[in-house]
Amino acid sequence: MTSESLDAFVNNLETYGKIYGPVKTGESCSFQEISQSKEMALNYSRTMIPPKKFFLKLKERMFIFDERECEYEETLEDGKIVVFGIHPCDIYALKLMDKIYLDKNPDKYYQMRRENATLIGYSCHPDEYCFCQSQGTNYAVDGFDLFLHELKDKFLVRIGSEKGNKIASENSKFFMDVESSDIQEFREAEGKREKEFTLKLAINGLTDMLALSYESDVWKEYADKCFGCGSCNLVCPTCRCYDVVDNVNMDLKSGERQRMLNSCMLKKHGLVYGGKNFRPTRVERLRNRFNCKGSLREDMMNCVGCGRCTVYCPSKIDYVEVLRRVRGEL
Amino acid sequence: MSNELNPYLPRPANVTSVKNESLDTKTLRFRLINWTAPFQAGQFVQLLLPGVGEAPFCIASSQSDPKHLELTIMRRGIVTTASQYLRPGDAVGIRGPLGKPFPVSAFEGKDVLVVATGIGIAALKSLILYLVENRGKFKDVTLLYGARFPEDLVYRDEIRRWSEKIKVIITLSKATPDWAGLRGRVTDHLNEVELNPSTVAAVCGSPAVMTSIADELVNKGLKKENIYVSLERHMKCGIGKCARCLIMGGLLVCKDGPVFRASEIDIRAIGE
Repeated sequence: MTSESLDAFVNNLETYGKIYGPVKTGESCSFQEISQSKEMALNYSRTMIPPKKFFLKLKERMFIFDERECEYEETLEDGKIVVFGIHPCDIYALKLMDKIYLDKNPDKYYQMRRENATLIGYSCHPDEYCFCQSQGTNYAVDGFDLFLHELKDKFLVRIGSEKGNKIASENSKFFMDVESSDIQEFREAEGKREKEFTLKLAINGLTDMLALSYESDVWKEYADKCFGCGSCNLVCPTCRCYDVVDNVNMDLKSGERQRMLNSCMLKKHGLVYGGKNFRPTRVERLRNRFNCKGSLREDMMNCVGCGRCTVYCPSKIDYVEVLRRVRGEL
Repeated sequence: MSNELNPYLPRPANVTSVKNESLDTKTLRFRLINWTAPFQAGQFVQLLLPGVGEAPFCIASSQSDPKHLELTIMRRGIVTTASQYLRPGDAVGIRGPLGKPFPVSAFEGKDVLVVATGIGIAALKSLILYLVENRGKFKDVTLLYGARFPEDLVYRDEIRRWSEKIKVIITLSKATPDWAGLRGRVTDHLNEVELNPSTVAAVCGSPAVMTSIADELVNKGLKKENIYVSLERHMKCGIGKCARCLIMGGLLVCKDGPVFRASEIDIRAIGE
């Protein structure tokens, strides 16, 4: 696909749903609804809020209930969307979410939105906070419908799903066959990109290293810096904790059940009845978060190396630095 | 309704009876309306009180009756307090059964020790009932039950019945002068149980107690993989999504537990 045809291609994507793309808002970027490709800042580094927001709403209604009839009516409603310009790390993060939300007990709400969404990936260049190369999430093998690799005056497009194949064949006028010169150019661009990564994190055996560092002083040191605000959870593409509340109507008999994203850095997270808190201080909460991110889900770590928690931490706690300290490298 | 498809939707149940166990603890019996919950000992359910909220409780009845569930609830938080006001006929919602049960078939032919402290016995009751009902499958079965005050003891009538089939040791840590039975903590009385290297233990109590019992049993020669603990955490989804019940090592109490082998988890994780 040539660079010129991007505008027309994006316009055509409307057939597949509302288009969301990275738009510059203030100092950061955010996935917003767009009508044409010019509105997008496709050379963005990372959005503040990851694309999980399309699948796990900050707040959503699960069902309404009526005590008198003992009835629970689920509320499912959502339209089709196209998420354009999603980076490899965020694609991996969604793959991780899929492992949790689409296991043998699939989450209906998540599943519905996931099926309604078309993901179009877009190549990126790392900045000083990206460590996706260390996490092995810098190149998306699957998990997208289409993936656009930006070359000099064209895009190399990879198809990642049947849906992607359908879109490509329905828009075949935009696509040309790949020639050997394109492959050469793609290879060079990828090779150059691999060398652009400056931030490295040794992840071999990190899970065990974290378990062995349970009593480490590092946790106390960083917990003293931590505000316990939960920003890292909000911006993390793999953080998925949620809370559930019932909102009762004035008749005290009917109401709705809502769920909203929660944060393990907040005090309430480890609280059980009788006031017992399993993670009473920031030390335990910080250690818990790093243990969670460093634990393995099948073959993947719960962290994709997007760097958001470091960038958006108001107390400037550097995720990679903490793990290096835990390992004793610093 | 598409309950089969949406695991978040509770299914209807009615309260059929309420039994006072102690000053702040009641056992509620529920009849499931047009559905059954074929559960195994050790599993739990999410009890929803419309307009109040939802909380997880281990099933405290026999797995031979999947049409009725019993939950023993101590008044502590919001849902548990509201549940004290339930009366026969009241409607509630139930999701479950959830979680991994005790692997009872692995207990067969072995000595079984059940250690419960306080209301922790509610989480072990379904297991005790299974052991009592299938007594012939197991060698020596012992229930070591500890509480603080005499009035904290629950399941009094049932324990009397169980003691005809299994050995029961009850100890109180804050006994009143008129208490004729044993005094002290459960760990003080582990010596009274004959333990051998193949003994299987199931433990539930407060986190600190579970940690010390697990340590003590390991010291006495039990294998870590033969010690089972039933953990409790705050839960929202019950099916491994919301991560409220995360413990050390990325394990989720709702999905990977609530019953864990002591070898599976970091013993420190019991308390954290």
